[in-house]
Amino acid sequence: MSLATQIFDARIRESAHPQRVSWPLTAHVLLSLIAYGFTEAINLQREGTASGAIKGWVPTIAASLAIALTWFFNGRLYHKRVLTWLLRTVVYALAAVYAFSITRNLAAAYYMNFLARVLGYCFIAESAIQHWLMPERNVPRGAYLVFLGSIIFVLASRISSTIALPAHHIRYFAMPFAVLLAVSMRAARHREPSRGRSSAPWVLAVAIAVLLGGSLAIFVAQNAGIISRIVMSIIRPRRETDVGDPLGHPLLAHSLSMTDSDVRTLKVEGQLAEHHLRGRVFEIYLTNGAWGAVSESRGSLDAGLLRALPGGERITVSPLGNTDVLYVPLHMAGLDAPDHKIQWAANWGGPVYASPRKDGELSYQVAIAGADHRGPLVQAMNPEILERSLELPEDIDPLIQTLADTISKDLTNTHDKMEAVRQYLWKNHSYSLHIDPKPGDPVVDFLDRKLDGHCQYFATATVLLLRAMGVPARYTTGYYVHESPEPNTWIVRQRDAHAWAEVWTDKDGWSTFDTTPSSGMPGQSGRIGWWPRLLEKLADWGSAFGIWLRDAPFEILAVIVSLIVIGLFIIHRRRVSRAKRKTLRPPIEYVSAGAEFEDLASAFNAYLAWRGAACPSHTPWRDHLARLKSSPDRASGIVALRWDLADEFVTQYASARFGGHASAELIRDLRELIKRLNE
Amino acid sequence: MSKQFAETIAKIESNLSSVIRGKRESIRLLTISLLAGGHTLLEDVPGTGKTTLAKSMARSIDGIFRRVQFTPDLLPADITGSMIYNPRDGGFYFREGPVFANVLLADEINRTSPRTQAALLEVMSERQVSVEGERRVLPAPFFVIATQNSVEFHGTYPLPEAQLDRFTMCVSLGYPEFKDEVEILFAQHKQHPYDSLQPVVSCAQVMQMLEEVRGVRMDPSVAEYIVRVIEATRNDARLKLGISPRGSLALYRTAQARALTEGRDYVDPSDVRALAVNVLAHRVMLDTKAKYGGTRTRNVIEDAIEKTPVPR
Repeated sequence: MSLATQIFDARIRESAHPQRVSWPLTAHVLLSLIAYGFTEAINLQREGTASGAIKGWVPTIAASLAIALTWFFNGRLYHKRVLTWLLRTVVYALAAVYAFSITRNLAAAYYMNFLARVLGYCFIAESAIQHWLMPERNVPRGAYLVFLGSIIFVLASRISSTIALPAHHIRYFAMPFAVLLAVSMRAARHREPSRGRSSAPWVLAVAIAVLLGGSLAIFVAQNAGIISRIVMSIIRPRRETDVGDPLGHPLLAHSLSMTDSDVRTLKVEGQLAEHHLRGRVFEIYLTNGAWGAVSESRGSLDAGLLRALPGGERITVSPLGNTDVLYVPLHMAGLDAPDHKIQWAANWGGPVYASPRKDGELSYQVAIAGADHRGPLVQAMNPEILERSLELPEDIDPLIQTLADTISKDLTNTHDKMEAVRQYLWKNHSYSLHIDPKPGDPVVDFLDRKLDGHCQYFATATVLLLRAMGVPARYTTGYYVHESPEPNTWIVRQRDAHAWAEVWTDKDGWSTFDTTPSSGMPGQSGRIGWWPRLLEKLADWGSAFGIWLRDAPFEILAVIVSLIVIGLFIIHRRRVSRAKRKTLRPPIEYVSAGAEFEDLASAFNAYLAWRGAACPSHTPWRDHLARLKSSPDRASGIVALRWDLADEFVTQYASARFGGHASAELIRDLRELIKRLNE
Repeated sequence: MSKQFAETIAKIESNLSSVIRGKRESIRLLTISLLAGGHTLLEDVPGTGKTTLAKSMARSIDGIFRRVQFTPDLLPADITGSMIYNPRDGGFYFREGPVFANVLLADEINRTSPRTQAALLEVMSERQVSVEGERRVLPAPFFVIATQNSVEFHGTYPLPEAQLDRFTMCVSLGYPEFKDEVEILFAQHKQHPYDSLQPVVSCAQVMQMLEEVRGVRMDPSVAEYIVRVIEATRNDARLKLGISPRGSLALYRTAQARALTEGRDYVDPSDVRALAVNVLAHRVMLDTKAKYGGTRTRNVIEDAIEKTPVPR
């Protein structure tokens, strides 16, 4: 007999419910698995590798159905608990609406994970609540299963959301886990072990839950790196812009899938003079339509760029997702990011990096260069940079040069050349998110056939044409900042990702040169609705609480935990005293027939429990045996008693105990029977 | 002694089951009710064999069987009997009503007026009839099987709980199983099996058995168990009315009878458990909320049993 069967069956026999496995449990566990697939599917979809295979809405509908099922079947079990009903209705309705609303925004993996987390916590909370509210004898093991399901669920969502799973997330499990543990222990204490009923399965179940939960937590904490690597190999990492090859080199995409993603990436505070926040810079154009960077040699920021902030205007930038690239305005005079090591690729005017990266902690201040001061990014730190910014690939189509010559005919001034390029592009091309270039160099095709294109095409074409005219130019990616919910606060979203050119003039140094038509500028995308705004607010509060919890000193945490424990204890005491007041009855004791009968009775109860057929205290042995005999457990061998001896014991015992036929001889016989039973 | 008793019971039961197929449980309960000196309320739809059962019971114990079909215009005198004027000698003589029988089938008891119902219930507990100031003792044993049509409400006077309390047990026959029903069809192919039914015991023997039932040993702990179960119903929030001491008494007596039918001379907690629903469920009154919440009286009794630990 397996341990699981033993644990399960002993309980089921006492339970008033005929179901062996209750529906809510199955549904909860299923739901957690579905939700895991859900997050996966969304990730895949983002990567564009699961076109048609797993559509995002299939798991969503499945999840909603499963939610409805749990609701329905749960309701049947505990339909009297108005509070449970109410709670469940509210929680699940919110979750369902949420799931529906975010699936319209398929790229919003961030919300997806948020949803997964919220649902996971809801399950944990609900299982605890139900356990608390439920009468003693109803589906008690549910809590463990639901809890385990929730752990899988939350872990899955955490892993896929942060990829590198920091150990502190384990802390979030601690509280619900402790609550459940306390509740389970309480259940175990009520098992009446003194009356011969075995409490072993209960203790075991609790122990298993503790062991599983604890070892899971430790395992995850210790192997966060390996887990994240495995998960990364499955779902591939996220990038800060939506296009590019796996190394992060931007590739001219035929369409932009992230333009409808309103996931927030940056929050900027302060007076913003420039709306272009640059992230990465690319120098080398490959004729297949990809941009590559020179092999970076990152130098410490302190070497080339003063870490100290000069006076003047400054802005504070807080990345909301995971990033190691710091987005800064071109006219940056200085930068400070506390607790982070800042590096930048100084010799090619390149991006600024921060390490170590930590979710939600990086926040940096940028000083803006005044009119009389040239920021380090504007300067050419190295003459090599200017040379490289003039290079065209050797195998580039001659069309570029021809076209550049046509446009810049009779022009000598750099500014005139730039204006000519802009005018040419605006006249001959319009903005479109979807283009269909021929095989080969997509930009050449774009210029040749005068196709419509998006910012990447405009930026690339600008850089190539200017280089062909002898003007140093480079390709820059980053964000176009335009959304300001309140004065001096700016929100940058995934859909604000942008690409533009930077052009060198001897007078001004590097300057931003954006040739994308205004109709295609990120600022033209629609406004954010009230519902996503509300969700963002909620997410902000949640993460603020999380950060607070993580940073809170141990003493405060200890005080909170003890307050919760004390509160729970008080509630528990009140419930107990109310229950006592309700019944006002002492525990039931019957007229005893003497110590030897009590010994015999507990010995026989112990025997039954040992054989996996513990007899509930409210069932006479006679009835219990009769029911066991006709139950399928006998046929399946789960219950293996020595039936003849057990029957004989029950008959003789009853005759002695209730029939008044007790004699020393009979008692001896009964003792003998017990001995034989236990052989 | 108890062995012999059990054999007699077995004879009665097999006699009855040759007529009523596949209802061993109900037959057993009915027998227990008879031996406990009580009366039974059969709650059932028409046509399930209530009359046949009552008639067969009467014949098996070699007793007189009478039947009253209760109608709204039935008067108390119609069941107890009345003084009839004899023009020949100018005197009055008593014409016995249908209650002067060993087994009385009171069919559709809820169809008659409360007045007549009350008369019957009085007779049931008194086992005697007073007409014109003269006491007339009913034959012994006196066993009433009353039926109540639980389907219709129109034109009925449902028995108040206070009166239902007087029935020792409430038994439901229910429809027969598929196989049994086929058997019933063939059993009546030529003639009704009732016609060939022979008595197996005499009324005198039944009275003797009734005496024996009273001699069955009841351990104090089991008696306490009975009271605990009853108490549990009284503390149940779903009930407007718990169980009266009359109920505990009935459970006590029937448990004794059941012990004997099982071949024991002492009562075991399992006897109490087995009979509780049939003996107690019709005596309680559900709270309105519980009633419309789908709770049934038998659930309450079952819960009381499930809540009360048994003596070991």
